[in-house]
Amino acid sequence: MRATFSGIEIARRALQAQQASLDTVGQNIANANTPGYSRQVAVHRASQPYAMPQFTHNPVNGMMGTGVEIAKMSRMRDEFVEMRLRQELYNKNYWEMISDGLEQVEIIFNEPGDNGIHRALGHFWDAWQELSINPQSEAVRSVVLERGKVVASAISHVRYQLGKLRDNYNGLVSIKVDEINNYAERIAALNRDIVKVNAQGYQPNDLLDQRDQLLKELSEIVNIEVVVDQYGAASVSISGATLVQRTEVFKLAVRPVDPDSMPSPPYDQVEVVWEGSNVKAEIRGGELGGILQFRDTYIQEYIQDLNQWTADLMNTVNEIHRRGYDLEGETGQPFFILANGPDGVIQAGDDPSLHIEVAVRTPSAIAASSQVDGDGNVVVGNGEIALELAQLRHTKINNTENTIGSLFNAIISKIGVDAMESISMVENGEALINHLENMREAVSGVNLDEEMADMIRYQHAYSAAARMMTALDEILAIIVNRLGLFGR
Amino acid sequence: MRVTNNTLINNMLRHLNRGLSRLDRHQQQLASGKQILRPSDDPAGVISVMELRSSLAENDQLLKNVTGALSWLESVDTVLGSVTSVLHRAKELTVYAATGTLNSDDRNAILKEVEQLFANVLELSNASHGGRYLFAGQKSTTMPFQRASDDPDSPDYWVIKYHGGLANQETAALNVEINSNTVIDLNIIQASGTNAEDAEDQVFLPIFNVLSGIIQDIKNDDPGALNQRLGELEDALDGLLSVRAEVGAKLHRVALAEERLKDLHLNLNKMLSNIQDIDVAEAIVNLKNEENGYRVALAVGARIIQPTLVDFLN
Repeated sequence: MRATFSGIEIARRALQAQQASLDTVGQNIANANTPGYSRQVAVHRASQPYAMPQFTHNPVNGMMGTGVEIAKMSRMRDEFVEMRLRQELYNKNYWEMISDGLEQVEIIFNEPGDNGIHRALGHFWDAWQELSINPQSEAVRSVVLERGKVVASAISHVRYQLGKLRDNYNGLVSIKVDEINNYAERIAALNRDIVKVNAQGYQPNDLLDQRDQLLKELSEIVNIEVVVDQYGAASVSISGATLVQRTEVFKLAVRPVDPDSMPSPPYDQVEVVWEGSNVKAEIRGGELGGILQFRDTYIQEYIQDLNQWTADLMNTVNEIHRRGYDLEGETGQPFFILANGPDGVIQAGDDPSLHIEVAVRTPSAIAASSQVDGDGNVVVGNGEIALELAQLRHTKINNTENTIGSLFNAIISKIGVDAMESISMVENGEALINHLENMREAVSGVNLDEEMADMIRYQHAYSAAARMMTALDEILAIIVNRLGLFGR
Repeated sequence: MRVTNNTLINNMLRHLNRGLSRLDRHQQQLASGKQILRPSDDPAGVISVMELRSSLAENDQLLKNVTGALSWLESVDTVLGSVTSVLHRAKELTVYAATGTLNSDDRNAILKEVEQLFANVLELSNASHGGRYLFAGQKSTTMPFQRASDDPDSPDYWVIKYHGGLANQETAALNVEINSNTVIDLNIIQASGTNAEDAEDQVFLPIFNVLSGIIQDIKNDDPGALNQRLGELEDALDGLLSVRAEVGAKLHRVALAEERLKDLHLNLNKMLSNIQDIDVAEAIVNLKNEENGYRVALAVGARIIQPTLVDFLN
């Protein structure tokens, strides 16, 4: 025997459930383009039935249905895909920072080009060759001097720009550390809200989406691992050291590197430490990881290589030039020197801002001749020293199989290989991320056709439930209004 | 796999972007005419390009050297040729003077002409090329052959001293690089001695000695001695001939080097072009291909992202 009004209650529940689903459709459509939004589904469930009270127990009658209820608001999400996505993001961004830097290094060297060091050096050897034939000519001497200056300034320019690039990357470190701290604060704040809402028995779907989006953005900057505990709070750690623990944040900081452990060449380098403990943070990925790696490994190597090469060039040219005599009969003078720096040549560990310049001030001070006559006057038609310098173009130096030119080519080749590697790493990363984004979208994305179909489905169900309600209304109207007229 | 509208749009955007960046690359290659624009495009290729450019620049400089050496040697040959004609004329005059039937007027006329010939040879021996004396070795700005005295009445007026560079002091060689690591010595005067007082040159000094002897003999009216001078003249001519043969050999060597360098220039340019330059036909076909691909991607994208179920629900 059913209660008179139970049908109305079932219809009411149906109306509410369909309406909740329609609202969810609306929410999904509204957030179709919200970054990080996960599609939600209102899961319908038949509400608790009850056994019909009856005089005799007859199992055939079964239980009475009580309508429908919303079991939960499900948030469509694949945690594994999210985790993979975070990993690939810090991997890709790591290589992207390195690739960006290498692109700039390529632009700085500008090889193979018409204005690079390589071309300047070629012109320099040509000028010496010309001088070896016309050692007495003031005009040719001027050309040698000018070409020498072009070589010196081309080298100094590249060195200076490399130093600048390294300083720029160094400056980026503290900006990225600030960003990480900011993200950590926001994640901790969301943790607090999420735990609170969870405790009240609600599902904080949109807060979870926000936190996941923050985690994703954070993983672009630094390599993180995320663990979510039973209360719904996310713990974030960087290479095993905790950044966010529930609502607590352990901040990162930058500090100047200890002068004793300075790299060579030294500069105002900063390192990333944990605030408080001052322990050096281990950063392996993300933009910050790429910045540190590029600053400490890649560009450091190029600066040292270029220093070494510059030293070879200066030493080799100076050694020959010192043996020669200029037009005044003077000898023992270097051709290249350090500008306003110490005597001698560039060392592998020197600062890239150290400039080199041509020591010879006037054309007549170029030592092209290898001979002075008995009176100590220079033999002006002797161009042996100039010839020896011109032959440096194909002379193997330092007891190796390398010429000065091929040593420089080796630097360019190294940069090219490094850049190519980083570009392909970025491309691989992008392909993986695209794939993962598609997988994520397959689970969490909003398909408008699907939502439309759902909308129609719930709309019809709603109409039907409403119709049910009117039917019951009519039935009750008969009972209330039409029955019992007897005796009136 | 479940596909959403955003998947479609993202994929379309990504493909369009890729197509655009490939288009951009083809266009850059076509505009610059080069397929290697930076080291990362092809690290090994870049090194080849740089090595080849360096070889090419060196080759061009060597070609300049060779051209200069050729014109220098040709000047030397011309000068030596002129000296040879002078000596032939001197021989005729000596034969004439040695007949012994001349009156003093004729002798004087011959004397004057031989003196002129002497001055002529002196002038030729001090010839210069591009501001440098041809026969001074490395002392290229010092006049190599000078009279011991400027007084025409002094006997030293007819004595010539060599002031140029000396082989034994290593100031003679005029080395020009005509090939990587191959130098050629353009100087033909291999004089030796300690200074201008005793410097011995095997080319011009014997000629000056013969000519001044002839002048002396004509002045002394000594036909017998003049007959002997004919033999000395013959020797001087022979010496000159062998020097000219040496110059000829050097000219030949330099000319061969020039040909080799020109061939090398062509080869190097071809190799450089192979590595560095684009095949224009291929690049244009590629560009067109990419352009088509891009258009198709745009057209398809425009079709698939437009309709949703919304368009068909009333």
